[in-house]
Amino acid sequence: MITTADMEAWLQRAADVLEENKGYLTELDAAIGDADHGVNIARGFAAVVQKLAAQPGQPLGPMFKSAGMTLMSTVGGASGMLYGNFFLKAANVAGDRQALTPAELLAVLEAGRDGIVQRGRAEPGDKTMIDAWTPAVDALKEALAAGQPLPAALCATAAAAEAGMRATIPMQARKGRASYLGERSIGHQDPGATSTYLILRALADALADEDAKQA
Amino acid sequence: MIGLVIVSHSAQLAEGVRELVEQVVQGGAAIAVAGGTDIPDAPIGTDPAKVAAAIESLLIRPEVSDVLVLMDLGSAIMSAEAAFDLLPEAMRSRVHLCEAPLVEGALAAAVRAKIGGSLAEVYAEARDALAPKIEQLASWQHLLPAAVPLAEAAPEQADRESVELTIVVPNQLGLHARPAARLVTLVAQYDARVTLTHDGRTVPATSLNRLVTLGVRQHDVLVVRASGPDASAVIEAIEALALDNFGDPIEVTEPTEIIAAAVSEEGDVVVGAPASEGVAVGPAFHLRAPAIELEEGVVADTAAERQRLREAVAAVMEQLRTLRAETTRRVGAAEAGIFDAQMLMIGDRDLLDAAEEAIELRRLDAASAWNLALRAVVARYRALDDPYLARRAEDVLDAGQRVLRHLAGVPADALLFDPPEPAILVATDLRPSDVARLPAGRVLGIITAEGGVTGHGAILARSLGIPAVTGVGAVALTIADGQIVGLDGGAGHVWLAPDAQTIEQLRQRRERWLTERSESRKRAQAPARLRSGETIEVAANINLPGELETALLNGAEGVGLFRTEFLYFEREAPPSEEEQLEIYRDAARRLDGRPLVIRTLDVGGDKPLPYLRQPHEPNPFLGQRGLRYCLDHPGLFRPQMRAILRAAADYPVRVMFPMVSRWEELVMVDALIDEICAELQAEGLPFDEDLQRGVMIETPSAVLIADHLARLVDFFSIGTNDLAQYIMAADRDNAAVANLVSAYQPAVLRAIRETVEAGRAAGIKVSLCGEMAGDPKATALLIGLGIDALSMSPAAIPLVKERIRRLDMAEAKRIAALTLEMSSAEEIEAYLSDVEQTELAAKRMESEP
Repeated sequence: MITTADMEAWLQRAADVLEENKGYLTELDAAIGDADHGVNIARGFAAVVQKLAAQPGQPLGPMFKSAGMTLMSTVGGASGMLYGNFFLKAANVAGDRQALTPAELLAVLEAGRDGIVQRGRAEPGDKTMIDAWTPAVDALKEALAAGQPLPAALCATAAAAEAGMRATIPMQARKGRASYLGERSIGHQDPGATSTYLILRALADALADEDAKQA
Repeated sequence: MIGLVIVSHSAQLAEGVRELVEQVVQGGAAIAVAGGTDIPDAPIGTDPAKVAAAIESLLIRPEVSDVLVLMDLGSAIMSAEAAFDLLPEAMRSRVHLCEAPLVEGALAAAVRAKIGGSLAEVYAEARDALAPKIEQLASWQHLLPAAVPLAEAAPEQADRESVELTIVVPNQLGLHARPAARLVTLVAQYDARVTLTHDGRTVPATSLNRLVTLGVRQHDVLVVRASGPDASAVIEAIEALALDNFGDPIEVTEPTEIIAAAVSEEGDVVVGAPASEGVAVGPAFHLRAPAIELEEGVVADTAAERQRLREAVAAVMEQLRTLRAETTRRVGAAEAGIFDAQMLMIGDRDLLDAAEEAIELRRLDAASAWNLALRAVVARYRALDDPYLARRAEDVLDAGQRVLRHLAGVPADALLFDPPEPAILVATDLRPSDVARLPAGRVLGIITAEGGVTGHGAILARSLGIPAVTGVGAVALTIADGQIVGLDGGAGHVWLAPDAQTIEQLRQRRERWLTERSESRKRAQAPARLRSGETIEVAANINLPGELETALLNGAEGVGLFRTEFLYFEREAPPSEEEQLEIYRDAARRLDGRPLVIRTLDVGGDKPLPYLRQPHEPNPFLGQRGLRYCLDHPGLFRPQMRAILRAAADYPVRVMFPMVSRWEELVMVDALIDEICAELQAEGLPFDEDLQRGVMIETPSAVLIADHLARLVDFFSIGTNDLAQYIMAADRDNAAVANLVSAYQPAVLRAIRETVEAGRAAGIKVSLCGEMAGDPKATALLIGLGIDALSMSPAAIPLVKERIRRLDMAEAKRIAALTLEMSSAEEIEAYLSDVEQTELAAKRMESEP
C-alpha cells in the first residue's frame, strides 16, 4: 500500500528535485518561453511542502486538494494552473483514503493527467507536458497489468516520461507561449515535459526508498 | 445588471482597464479585477483564487444577475476556467467566460451593461468590440506585409497581426448556404478570428446566418480579415477554398432549377418514377410534421429556460447529424450537405444569443423566444433579393421548427396526414413507417419529391394498390394544399395544375382503371396454369396483415413473403411472443388454408430499431443483418421463432431466413429450433415439429453454396432485390450506382439459373420473391428458367397470372435460353419488352376479332 507518508515523501522529493533543477528548467524555458518555469515551479512545490507540514495527518484527498490550490496560487503561470488541476482531479479520486493500492495510484494519476488535458486542451504532439504525462501513465498501466511490482512499474513510468520529454525536442509547439515561435520552437526540449519527468522520477525514487526501508 | 471581472497577468493592467471603464461609464458599472499574483518575487501571473473572489464579490451584489469574465491570455484563461471550478455549484450558472479582447471588450460590455443590456447583448457587444477598430484601420491594411508565414513574423507580433485577403466571388450562385457553410466549417478549424466585409458590412465568419444574409453574389468583392495565431494559415485555406470555386461545381445547376426545367410547357406535367400503377386526381395534401401551437408564457427561472433551449438545440443538432449520416449513405454526400448547412444555421451563436436574450429580457419561455429569434433570421433571409438565397429561409425554418417540436415533446419523426377529404398525399419521401400509419381509405394517390421505384415507399404503395409517382423533385414541395393535381402511376406523370378538361379526362381514366382492376381481380381468382398445363403458384408479399385483403382480392394463393420487420417498427420494445403468435395466427386464419411464409426479422444497420441499440456500421448492407443479427441476439430471435413454431401447429405456416451466407448459419438455426421445440414440449404448448423451413437466396455466397444449403431446407426463395445489389456490388439507394442494380443483369440471371438447378437437384421448391416476380416482362423468362412459384406485390398478381396463362412451357424455355445468351441488361430488357409487346398485341387481336 502507498501511504500518506509515501505521498508526502514524493512531494518533498519533487520539491527538492525541482529546486535543484530550477536553473536547468529556466534555461529550457528561456529558449522557447518566458524564462520563468524553473523558478515558478520550484516556488510552487516549496509552498506545497510548507503547507503540508502545517496540516499533518490529512487523508489523501484533502492533501492533494491543498497541494493543487497551493500550486494554483503560488506558481503564477500556466504550469501552476495545470499542475494545480492535476492535484485537484487526483483529490477527487483519492477521496478519504489514507492509503492507495497500486491500481488506485494509477487511477489517481490518470485522473490527474486528464485534469491537465482538460485545463490545457493540449493533445499529444503539441510539445507540452502532456507528451510526458501520456506515455508515462500508459506505461504504468501496462506495467501493472503485466504484474510488475510497484517500484519496477514506477521506474518504467519515469522512463516513459523521460522518453516523452525527449520526444518533444523535434516537435513544433502548438500550445502555450512557445507556439508563438512556430517552427523556431523545433529543436528545444519542452520545459513543462521536463518538470513532469522530474516529478515522476521523484515519485519512483520516493517509493523505491520506502520499499528499501521495508525490505 | 451584468457584472464584469477583469483578469490580467498584471495588476496594473487590470486596474488600468477598470480605470478606463469607470471613466467611460461614470460609476455605472459593476466591475471587479483580479490582476497579478500575491507572490512577492513573481507579481506577474494569475491566481484562480483571486479570480474566484472577484467573481463572488460581484455575484453577492443584489443588482448583479450574471458575471462576464474577460481575461488577457495564456494562463489568465486557465485561471478563469479554474476559478469557475472553484466557485460553489449554485453560482456557476451565473458566470460566463468571454473571449472578447480585454480592453475593447470590457469597454463595450460595460457600456451595454450600464444601459441594462441582457447577458446575451452584453456578451455579443464584447465579442464584436474589435469590429469598429478593424473597420477603421482597414485602410492601413495594405501597408502590412500580406500573409507572412508565421515563422518569419516576429513572435510577439504573430498573435496580433491581421492578415487580409480580397476575393472576387467566383461561384455562380454566390455565397449561398453550402459554400458559406464550407467557409464557416473551415474557419472553425483554425485558431483565428476571421471577419468578412462586403459592401461596407462586416460580419464574423463564424456565423452562417450572418454570412449568407450578406447576400454575396458572383463577382462581388469580399474582404477577408484574419487575426490570431493561425491568421496566415486560415487565410491561405480560405484562398484555396475560393480558388476551388468555394467547393461548388463550376457549372451549378441546383436541383430545383433542373426540376423547373423538367416541367413541360403544356399543362405543367412533371415526370417522376412510375412507382405504383393507377390513376388518381384530387386535392393535394402534404404529409407534414405536426404544427406546434405556441403559447407565450412568462418564466421565472430564466437560467433554467435558457438551459432547456440549449438542450433542445443540442438534441436537434444530433438529429441533423443522424440525418446527414443516413442521407450520405443513402443518397450521397452532396445531398447531405443541406444538413450541414442546417446544423450551422441552428447552431449559429447569433440565433441562440437572440433567443436567450428574449428569455432574459422578456422572460419568454424557451419555445416562444426561439420562435421570435427564428422568425427574425427567416425574415432576413427572405428579404434577400437573390431568389436562390431567399429560399434558404425555408431551410432555416425547417431546422428551427425541429427545435420547437423538441421543446414541445413531439417525436422528431412524427408525421401527419390528415386531409379534410380523400386526397393525394405529397411528401419529400415516404418511410415504411409513414406508409404503415396512413389512413389507406383517404389516400387517392401518392407523389414524392425523392425516392425511386424500389424504395420502401414505392413497394408499400404498390402493395396497397395506391397509385404513386416518386422522385418528381423539389417541385412536389411547391404544390399547395388543396390544389387539384393528377397522377398516372403507370407512366410516372404528375399534373401540377390540370385544367378542367384534363381533370375530367383523368377522372374518366381513373374510373376505367378502377373498373379494369376489379375485372382483372375477378379473373385473378383462378389458378395460373400455362397453356401447356403446368401450374405456377402465385403468392403475395406482405408487410402487415392489413394488406391481406388486397392480396386475396387480387388472387393471391398464399403469402410467399411476410416481412415481419414492420411488427418491430415504431415501438418502444420488440413485440412479445404472444403478440406475434396472435398476429401470425390472425394472418393465417384470414388466408383460410393458404400457405403463409413468414420471414424472420430482417433488420440491420440499414433498418435500425431504436430499442436495439445496434452499433453504427459504416456499411450496414454488408454488416450484421438478417439472420446474422438474429443468431447473435437470441433474446430477440427466440420469441419470434417460438411464435412461428406455435402458429404452425394449427395453420400451414412456414419460416424463411434472410441474409444467409454460410451453411453453418442454417445449422445453428436448426439447433436453436430443436432447443425451442424441446422447450415447447416441456411447457406443453402445441407446435409444429416438422415446420417447413426455407432460405432466402440473396447473397452471392448462398447462390454458390446452394447445393449445401438445399440439404438443410425445404425450399429456396430468391430475393432478387438484394441479390442484384450484392452481385453487382452496388448500393440500390446510392443514386450514382443504383442503375447497376437490376435483376436483368446477366450475372443475376445466371445466379437464378444456378439456384434453380441446385434446388432441382435436391428436389426442393424454388420460389422467387423479389420485385422481378411482379414484372410481367420477366414472367416468361422466370418460368423458362424453372422457377416453381412467384411471390409479389399484391397489385401485380392479376397481370402476372394473365401473362402465365398465355404462356407455353416450351416457349418460355426458348425465351429463357435466348436471354441467357445475351451479354447486357439493356439488351435483355429490350428483348423481354419486345416479347411482351408482341404478346400484348396478339392478345388485343384475339379480343378484337
